[in-house]
Amino acid sequence: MNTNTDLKQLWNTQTSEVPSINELFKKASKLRNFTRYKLLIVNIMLAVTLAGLTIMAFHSHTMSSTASIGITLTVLAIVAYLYASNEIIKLLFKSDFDSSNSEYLRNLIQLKHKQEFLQKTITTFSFICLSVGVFLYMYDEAVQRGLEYSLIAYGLTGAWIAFNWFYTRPRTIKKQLTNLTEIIQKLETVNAQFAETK
Amino acid sequence: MSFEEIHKTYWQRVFRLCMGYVNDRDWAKDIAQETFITVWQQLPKFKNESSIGTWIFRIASNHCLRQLEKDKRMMKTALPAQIEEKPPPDIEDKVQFLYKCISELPETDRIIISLELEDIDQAEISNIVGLSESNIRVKIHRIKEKLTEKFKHYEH
Repeated sequence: MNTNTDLKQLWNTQTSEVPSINELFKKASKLRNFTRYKLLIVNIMLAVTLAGLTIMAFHSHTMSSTASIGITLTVLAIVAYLYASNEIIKLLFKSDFDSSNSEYLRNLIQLKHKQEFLQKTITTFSFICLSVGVFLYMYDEAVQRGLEYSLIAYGLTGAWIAFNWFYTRPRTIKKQLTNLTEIIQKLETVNAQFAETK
Repeated sequence: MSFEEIHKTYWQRVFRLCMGYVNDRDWAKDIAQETFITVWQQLPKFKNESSIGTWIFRIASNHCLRQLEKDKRMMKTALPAQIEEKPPPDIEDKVQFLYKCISELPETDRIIISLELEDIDQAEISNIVGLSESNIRVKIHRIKEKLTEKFKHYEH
């Protein structure tokens, strides 16, 4: 068989009905609205948290400094988490589709590593801030109410934080990262196809 | 060239490239549509540094690569080495067989052979894929050999 002609002939036999331009525009606006909606939600939460922080700062003269620091750390944990979510959404919709395939793949791998870093580091950072924040916030109350109360309150909170740190946190990170790690592996396998021929 | 003209001129070619990559009509249609959405969004920024065709095929093949993120639907069934006694395949069977064979190649090879079968010259393929022209030439030769071999078994 004449490979070239035959393969090209067979290849060109495959056709598909050309969809209308309107169908395409509808899909484009659906995609755009989806991204905007996600970004909007995250940013509203960010704004509300920052507003909360500002209000607390104004009223901080009524609280002791340890409680203020505690609240600030707690809010910081939430802000950090929302910031990471915001960055991840932006990364996911970043487009450099007109680079060459090898360059595009390299950028995609970098982007996924960045996403991995953001998820892993920020989740840990948020947990630390949240835990320390709660401990500090409770400090004054515990000192005022005596040793027995302190032991019970800190014991229970400590147990709760330990549960989150040793059980919830690793599971959250694992869940988020397993999928991402698989994707990175697949991307790297394909990237190796470029390297093999160089 | 207006977007409408681009869409009309390139739809079938982009669709075939996507079909070669995933061998699933609905999925290929989705990727082709995503490609044209990007083309529509980026068209005002397009500088005539490369031909519009090269630019569109770059976008399309990168959208194909992006499918690695949602590759769950991809069927990786092994091709039968030899077909049992059956009547000779008709054209439609052969077309399906060709697309199946291509979609089972390594990802970069799928893109390279699809572009070659679309009659894009090797310098442009090299520009789209990001490999040297000599590499592209060697790869095309090897892929065609592989496909011819599979067709030999299929037809006899």
